[in-house]
Amino acid sequence: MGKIWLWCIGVVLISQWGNGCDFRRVVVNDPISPETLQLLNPGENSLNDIVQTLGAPDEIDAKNRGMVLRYRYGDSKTMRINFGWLFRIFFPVAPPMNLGRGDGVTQVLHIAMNEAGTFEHYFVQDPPAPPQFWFWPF
Amino acid sequence: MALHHQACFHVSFQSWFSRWVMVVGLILLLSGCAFVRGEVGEPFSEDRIVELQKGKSTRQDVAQRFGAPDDIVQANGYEILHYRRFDSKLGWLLFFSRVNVASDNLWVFLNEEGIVQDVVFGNRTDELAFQIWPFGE
Repeated sequence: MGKIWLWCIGVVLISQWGNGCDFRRVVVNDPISPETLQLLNPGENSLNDIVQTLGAPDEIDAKNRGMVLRYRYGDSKTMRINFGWLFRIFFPVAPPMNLGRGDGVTQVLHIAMNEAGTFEHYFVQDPPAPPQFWFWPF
Repeated sequence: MALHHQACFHVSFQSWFSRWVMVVGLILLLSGCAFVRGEVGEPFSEDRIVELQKGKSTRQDVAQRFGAPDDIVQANGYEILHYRRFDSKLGWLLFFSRVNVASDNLWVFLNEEGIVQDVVFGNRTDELAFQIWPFGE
């Protein structure tokens, strides 16, 4: 059997197998880079410096004597397998039997500005471990 | 002669059948393919943003250019008008899909007299890409 035949059969089988499972991912904004934060110096950087370094914030909130800029990043992964698909091989009907699981992480950066509009400090958690694809929900 | 005809028929049938399988395979592949885009809000016109002048433009000028804000925040003595736009791009092929979401944010800082003191704009959606592969970065 030629390679082209194997390729064709492979494409058909893979495209049909695709009905039985999926891998989905949703990414919101770009990850917050620790290297970028090292460019910020307390008492020196203005709002414009911060915006040039990090972009416009997603949120601004009031704080006691100043304000807080907030940047958000999110990543979620979902995997699903339809084990009922296997019935297609042996039976005319294929009842759906799905097992799926989602895993997500968020990262939030708080940047505090003092009442003079100068960078004061920031809070950010360590970069979270990337979410994993896995279907077992139990 | 008969053998030659048989060989020709065999070759042409094989060629026809392989093409047919390729077409079916391609159709099946394409039937599981999608590119979808969702936008919330109008894109910000950079020309309109540049028109806002610090110390001169008023709340009315801002409202005329961008309409009512999505949010108003009181912080650090400023009234801050927040305008948002969201963009999302979904790439889907068979059992792999990925959605990328990003937002543009315009913040206009007004003093107590309603005069523009600062304008902050960030555009993330211009670099938003359609991606299918959900693994890796």
